Amino acid sequence: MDKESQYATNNELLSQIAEGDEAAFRQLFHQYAQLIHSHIYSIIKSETHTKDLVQDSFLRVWIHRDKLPGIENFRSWLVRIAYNLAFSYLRDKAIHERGDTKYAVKYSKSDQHSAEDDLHLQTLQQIIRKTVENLPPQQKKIYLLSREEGLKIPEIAAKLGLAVSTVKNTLGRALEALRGAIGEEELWLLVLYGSCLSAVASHLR
Amino acid sequence: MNEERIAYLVKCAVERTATADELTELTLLIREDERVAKEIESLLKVEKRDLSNQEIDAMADAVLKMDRPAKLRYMFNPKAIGWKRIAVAAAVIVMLGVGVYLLSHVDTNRGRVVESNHSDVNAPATNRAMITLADGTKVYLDSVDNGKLAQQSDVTVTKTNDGKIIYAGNASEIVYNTLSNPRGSKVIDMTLSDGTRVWLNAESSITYPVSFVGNERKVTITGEAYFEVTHNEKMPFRVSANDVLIEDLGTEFNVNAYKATITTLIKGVVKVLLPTKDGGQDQKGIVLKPGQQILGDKLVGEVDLEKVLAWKNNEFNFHDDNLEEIMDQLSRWYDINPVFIGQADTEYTGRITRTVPISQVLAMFEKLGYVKFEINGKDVKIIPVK
Repeated sequence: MDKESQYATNNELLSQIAEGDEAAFRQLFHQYAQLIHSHIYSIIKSETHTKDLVQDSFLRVWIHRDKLPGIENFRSWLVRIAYNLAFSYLRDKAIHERGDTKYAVKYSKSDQHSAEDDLHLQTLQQIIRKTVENLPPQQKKIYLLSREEGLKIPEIAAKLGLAVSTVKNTLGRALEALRGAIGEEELWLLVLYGSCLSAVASHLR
Repeated sequence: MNEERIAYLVKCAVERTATADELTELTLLIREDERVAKEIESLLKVEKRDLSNQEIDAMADAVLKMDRPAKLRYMFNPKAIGWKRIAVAAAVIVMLGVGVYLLSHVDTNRGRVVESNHSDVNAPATNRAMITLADGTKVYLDSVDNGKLAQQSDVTVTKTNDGKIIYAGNASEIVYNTLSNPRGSKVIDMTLSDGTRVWLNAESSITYPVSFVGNERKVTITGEAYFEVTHNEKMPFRVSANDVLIEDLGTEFNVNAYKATITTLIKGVVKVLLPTKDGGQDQKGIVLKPGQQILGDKLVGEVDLEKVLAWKNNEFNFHDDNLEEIMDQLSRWYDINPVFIGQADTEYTGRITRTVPISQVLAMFEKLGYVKFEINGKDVKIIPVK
């Protein structure tokens, strides 16, 4: 099976993930884990940190779930995220080796730790949980109904007596807050709409 | 897009000769133009690597738990911890529903201190509470002698030899005093002019009339207080905490109002009036039975009273509490400033006396092996391990 057709049937999966469907997300994770893992490893050559960055890549997929159905080519979008994280990791490492402490704080020093235990991921998790905790009450309520009780958007709308669009927008705002909290909002807009921007840029040239 | 530059940068990156600036340049190029990633893909020598389904599942689990509340629970056996001899005899760890048992024997009484720790913070030795009188005068209780503290109308305020505050006498009009107990201060015990006794935790305050006049006895609290109310049907005793009003119907109860108001009934009957949307109180109220609690706007039955009253018994009592809640309690008592370094999403169960230095309390958590602490003056760093 060639790459394109293998990854062409994803639209439905992406729509399900957009609804907060964990099973669909796991399926997607299984489809792309090997690919993303190989690519990141070919750049950073560290087993432990590769796993860390694979998770980081998919975390970004997860907190962009509301935007997923709008992505034209999911595979190249994901690969781009993975490359960005991998080279950023090497940059942090280079800075650290030059004597800066940033790397030490962001990543565990030893390669012996398992990926789940990495400080970098733990820090992201802490930031995200704190952000969820501090969402405005209505956003938090809706977000937790989606995440803790696994309710779909229409189910949340029915439960709270709200319009489906209201729930959808509220969840979108909550996700926006999560993206903002890990400081990748701007990058992500660029990644998402990069094709338009580069089209404009080449037009201007 | 400059293919040559990209090829050069990627080559340097994978050969580890790239500078930080070059790597930054590369990430910027990736962000700017989606074709750069395609170019990099054609340059990389990607070897297919095998991941087991289990490995992938574990990674997916890790990602999906990131925006969900914690599920990990650690526990030290409460029965093994004496009041004076602080020991963790057995630690039970329940991890994601799979029980893992771990036994460790630690006797913190043998002067064990937190590793990597050079300073320590002792438990409050004195009470640093202050009474603000009606005229604005502030009376610092630790700087005054025992005996009569103040006279307001016919009401005298006395400090007893064991540090209790007693109001006695009558006044014809309502005059308010405020008792404030700061962080890092022992619990204070006060008797109001009607005989009602109030215990006030650290970082808490109570505002009350020096003598009760009219058809109700109303006090306002912040933080946490325990009441033993002298019942008087003609003059109901009411406690206002945040937006909640608690009405005594012959009672001993605890009010914790640090965050959401938590009212727990120990003895007798109380009625809790929750706030309504228009800023008033729902007059019907919820009548509590002993052992019941109102947490926020929810009625909780069969609560652990030992945990609720631990502060009054000079004890910390944790039950499935996460480090954030635990550090909240420690900050109030030791007046320290917790600094979280990384995610500490573990829950702990156990008890320990509040009379020991903070290092001994922290050592109990450290011994379970999932967190380390560093004390530096008033700052306590919380560093997850593993």
